[in-house]
Amino acid sequence: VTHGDERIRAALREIGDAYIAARADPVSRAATRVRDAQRRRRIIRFGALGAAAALVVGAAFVGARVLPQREVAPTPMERDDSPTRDGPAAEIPVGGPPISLAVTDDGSLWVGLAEKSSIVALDGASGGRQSSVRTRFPAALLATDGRTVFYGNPEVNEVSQVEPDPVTASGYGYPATAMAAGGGRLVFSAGPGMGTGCGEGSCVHSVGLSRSGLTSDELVFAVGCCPISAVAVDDMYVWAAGGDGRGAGVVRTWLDGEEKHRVGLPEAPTDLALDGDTLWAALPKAKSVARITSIRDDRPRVQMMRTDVAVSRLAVGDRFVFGAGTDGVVVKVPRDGVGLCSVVANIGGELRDIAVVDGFVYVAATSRDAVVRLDEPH
Amino acid sequence: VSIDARVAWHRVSDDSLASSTADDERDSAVQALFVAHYDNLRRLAFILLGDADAAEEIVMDAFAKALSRWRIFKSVEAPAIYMRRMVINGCHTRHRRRKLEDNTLRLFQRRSERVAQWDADVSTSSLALWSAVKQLPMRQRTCVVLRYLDDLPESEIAAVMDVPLGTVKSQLSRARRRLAESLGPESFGGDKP
Repeated sequence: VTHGDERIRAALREIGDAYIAARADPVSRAATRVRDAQRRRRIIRFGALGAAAALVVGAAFVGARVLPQREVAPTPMERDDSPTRDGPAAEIPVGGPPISLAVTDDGSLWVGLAEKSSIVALDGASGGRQSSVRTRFPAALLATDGRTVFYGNPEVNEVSQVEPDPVTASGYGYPATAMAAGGGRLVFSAGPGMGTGCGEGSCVHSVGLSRSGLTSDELVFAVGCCPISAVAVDDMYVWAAGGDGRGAGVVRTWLDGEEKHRVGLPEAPTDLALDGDTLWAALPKAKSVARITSIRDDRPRVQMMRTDVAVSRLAVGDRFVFGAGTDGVVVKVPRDGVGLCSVVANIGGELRDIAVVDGFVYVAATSRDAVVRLDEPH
Repeated sequence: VSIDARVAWHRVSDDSLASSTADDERDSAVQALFVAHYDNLRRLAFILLGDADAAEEIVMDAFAKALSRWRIFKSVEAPAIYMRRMVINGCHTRHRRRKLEDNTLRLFQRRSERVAQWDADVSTSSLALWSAVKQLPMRQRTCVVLRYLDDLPESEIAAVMDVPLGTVKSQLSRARRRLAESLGPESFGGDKP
């Protein structure tokens, strides 16, 4: 060590220590600066995102103005001999716009109406009208365990059950946004804004079912989908679909809500349909359906099948899974995942739900105030 | 028409648990680092740049980066060295920009409006030596400050600056010679046996 070394050390320390002493109170200033730095980064990131979004919107606007528009014209349903349809179609008026469908084990098709507090029961084999049951509110959602029909509405804080006679009801205090029954339980999601401690619309409510319907055995558990867009249930698992900007997918959990596992999808599915060891998910924005096989294994397989139309509701048939949505088109997707998806019928308007009964495909055609029946293709 | 992908169910509960633990771990680790090194780092930046506000900004930027890039930062073996390196890089960037600003001002014959931000009562001899240190090229200056202010051994200086040990030795030697030249052997004291 030299005298010069000591001199440098002493001088630098004297200045450094004087600086620290002169500018004390670093913590509050530090906290402010960290916040400022993080805010700056956020502003830059959101600015970049905003610019990108504006660019995309601008390009879409210009594209819409410049490019020729493709129109999907509705076709008459009384006689439609177009080669895309596999069988004759029939229209069954139900007295209002149908919005939901459910099929019970006896082959009845239950139809929920948009504007009326009643559910219409049809004979699935003939399409004939059987009865009409008054409900406490319009049945926007229908689910059945095969015996009892349950209904809910995203604007009403209860789910209820229907029996042909008498009608019984039970409220649970939460508006259901998605609903399914199976495995001795009715599962439905909490609507947004219902404080349950699980975040908005991210809870599954599971209610035990007896022979007479709903019981007081109720479970509520979070599944991490925000918000839940569709649910499915069997005698082992609950599948809840949903997602937001942070990611979308399907969460699988045991019936009691334990052990949650998730598989990612490009968007929040609008419907789930169980098909043995396969789970089908409707992805309307991607104009696709996801065929998720080996769903009870640790490593399921996800097969994205392009439908070219927006499919928001699904129903499983013998050889095909049928899809319907806002494009007014019914598509069939091969159940084994081999082959192409194809159009079955172009009905027009918005198709709110789809069901398969006894070799017929039924579609809730809201714009026609009717349920449209198609032969199930073979 | 279809895309196949083999995927794995992803454990949600474990992951969300892990993420909240990771957040706690990140916050407490950076907090501990802040308490232990904040003053040393801003002193280092201040001696290098001579700008009190810039020194604090650079150090806080380094901590903000540590928070936002925690996934990278947590795998760093010696966080203190990594923080020093970030601060020194920040100082070098600021120094380069300031040189550019000064050149631009000179080019357009404008006077700098930079005002003194720190006016502490220190001895004139120390200020003279610091002024001589600030005249050193940035690399030599960094070596001197790390060696004498932070008391780091040459091997650690090499790690912080990410240069070979020989470079540190030669830079320190040149810096000492230049300081002796600029301050004069009398003022600098000369080497004692």
